[in-house]
Amino acid sequence: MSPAIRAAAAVAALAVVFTAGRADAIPAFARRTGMGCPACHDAWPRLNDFGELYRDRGYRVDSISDEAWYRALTNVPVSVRTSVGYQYQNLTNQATDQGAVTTTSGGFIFPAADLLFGTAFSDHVSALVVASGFGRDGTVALESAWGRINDIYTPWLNVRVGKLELDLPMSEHRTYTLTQPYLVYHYHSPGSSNGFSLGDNQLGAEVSGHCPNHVGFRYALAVSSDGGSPTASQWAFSAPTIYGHVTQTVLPRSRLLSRVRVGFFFDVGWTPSQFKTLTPMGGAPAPVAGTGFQHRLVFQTGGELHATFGPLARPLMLSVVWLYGEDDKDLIANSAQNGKYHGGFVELAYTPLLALTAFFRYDGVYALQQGDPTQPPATGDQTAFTAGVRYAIWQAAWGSLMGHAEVSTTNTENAATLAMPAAVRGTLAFAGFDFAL
Amino acid sequence: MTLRLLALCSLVASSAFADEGGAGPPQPLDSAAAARGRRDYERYCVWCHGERGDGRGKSARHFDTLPRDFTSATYKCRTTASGALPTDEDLRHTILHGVHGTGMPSWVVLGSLQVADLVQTLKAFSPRWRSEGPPPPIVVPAETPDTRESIERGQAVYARMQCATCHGESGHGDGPALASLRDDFGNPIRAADFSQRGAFRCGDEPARVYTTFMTGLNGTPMPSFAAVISAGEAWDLVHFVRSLRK
Repeated sequence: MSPAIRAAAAVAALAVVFTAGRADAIPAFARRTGMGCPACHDAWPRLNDFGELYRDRGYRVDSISDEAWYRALTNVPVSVRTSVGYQYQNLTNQATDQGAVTTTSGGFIFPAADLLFGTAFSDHVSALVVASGFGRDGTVALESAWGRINDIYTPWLNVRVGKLELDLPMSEHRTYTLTQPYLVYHYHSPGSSNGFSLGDNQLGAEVSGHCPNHVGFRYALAVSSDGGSPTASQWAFSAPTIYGHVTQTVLPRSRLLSRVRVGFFFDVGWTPSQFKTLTPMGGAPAPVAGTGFQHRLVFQTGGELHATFGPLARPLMLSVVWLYGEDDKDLIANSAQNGKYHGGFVELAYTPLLALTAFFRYDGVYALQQGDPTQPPATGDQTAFTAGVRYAIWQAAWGSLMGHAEVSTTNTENAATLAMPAAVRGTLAFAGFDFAL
Repeated sequence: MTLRLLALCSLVASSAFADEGGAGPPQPLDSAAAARGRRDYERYCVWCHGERGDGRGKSARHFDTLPRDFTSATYKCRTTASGALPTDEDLRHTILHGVHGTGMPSWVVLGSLQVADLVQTLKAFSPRWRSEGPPPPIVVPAETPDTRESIERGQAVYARMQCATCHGESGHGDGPALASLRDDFGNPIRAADFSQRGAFRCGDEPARVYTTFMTGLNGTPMPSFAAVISAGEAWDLVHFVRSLRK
């Protein structure tokens, strides 16, 4: 994929990302535990420490027997989440046969939804399946589908297998924003054929562990088999990627600074750079699946800092996540050197009332070295600013309806390779309801 | 049989309470801390314990063991004599560790300062705290050796105290009085099944089990045995019931 097409695709993706529902706000868990959404979420879908422990235990409240829970609440462990509302969109320098134009559109979105099934079958067995789609085109895909063995002799050893979200510094499935993904989770050096994205759910297995009954150290180590590569190689693991993440969380005895988390993460992958090709009649050569060879290295490594100010029940949370990444030159079209970049995000979220959360985020990804040295240095650089509010109009132990308003701006630098004169800028706004039942 | 058991419980509880000296002087409520803790209460606790702390939260009816009614200031897990108020440390321990086998989880994720505030919030729900305070905690003597002989002696204590009436001969919580067991609020209540993990409401640690025997579980038919068994016999009983775990 050329840098031009990739940049255009990225902008287009931003325009539609929120029309799909987001996973991982799961009222079935609230119904099971009897607790309302705020017990596990600062404001849903973002988890607080209690919610993270519930997740890390495999959807169990305590490390002691949950027999009481199983008996206490009868419920069907199925939830649904969707967003409805009005969307405004403005994009500059959009390619047309008549040249670059600015497009503007607005209207009520056609809703999509997530259908979630998640539960602990016993102390040691949990599962999650998320079917996502149901939108205008009627397609449905399994966004997540995994089984988990919990507490293999110790909370420090849990195994999860299937299609799963990586243990990211900030979950993209649980972000407050509906118009903007974490850009750095999806960035690659311009022109790179590397298909692995941190933000995509991966096919693979994960080993994880955590402190038994409190916040503290936790880790996750995952291996994915296809690295997002659309065309498998001749390896047993088509394009293997290893991802690791460790965090340490402390609760200082301070009313000003109530929680601090630091962490480190990395991913390293090997993806094929060459394929046998097949050229159809009148078409262009296309890679043949299962013929990939000459695997080349891609990696990313980064750190995170999260600080919560004020009471945990009314948190002001600052999060900083930054990473450095590199794609091998053989994966980049017309390259003479490796592609190098860095980027991340800074997010501020404040929940002054149980029902109200305001958030702001800056995203940025910047090239340090273009694989193709003839490209302008800033080609493909992306920045975004997002701000919004969420207000729980109604929330209980069986669901919640949020009012949501948000605006974001995105800038992709040096889209001149698109034969366009300048950067592509996008503005997105959304106002409506986000609800889960 | 049930009447005989209840009479025994009543006798044991009242005599133990008298032996321990009853209530202590009232302690001033930290209203600022209670107000701070109210924020946590509304986020984490209100769903089960209710806005007024009366145990009538929206989810309360779903639980076998109903959420605590803080307005009565009747707490199971204490280190104080039967019938007495708990210490702040007792309440803190319950919040941090939960009540095993019930819907009350551990809230250790809140951190020590928030939990200290929550303790004051819970106390603010009941006027009883304004007229009395907790007596000094009981003294837990050093544990005796957990030997086969101690377990056998504990089994004898188990029989002599008629524990099987509620907990069953094999400790599975299936004694003949089970169907008639009620808590102080008239709700049906189960006797602990000692074979299960989390059987001991206030914690599995030997000292916690010892404390339960010597203070009872307020608001339930589980009495204090402080007046009728010695410390050594209590440790023997601890060793016996812990030996019943699968």
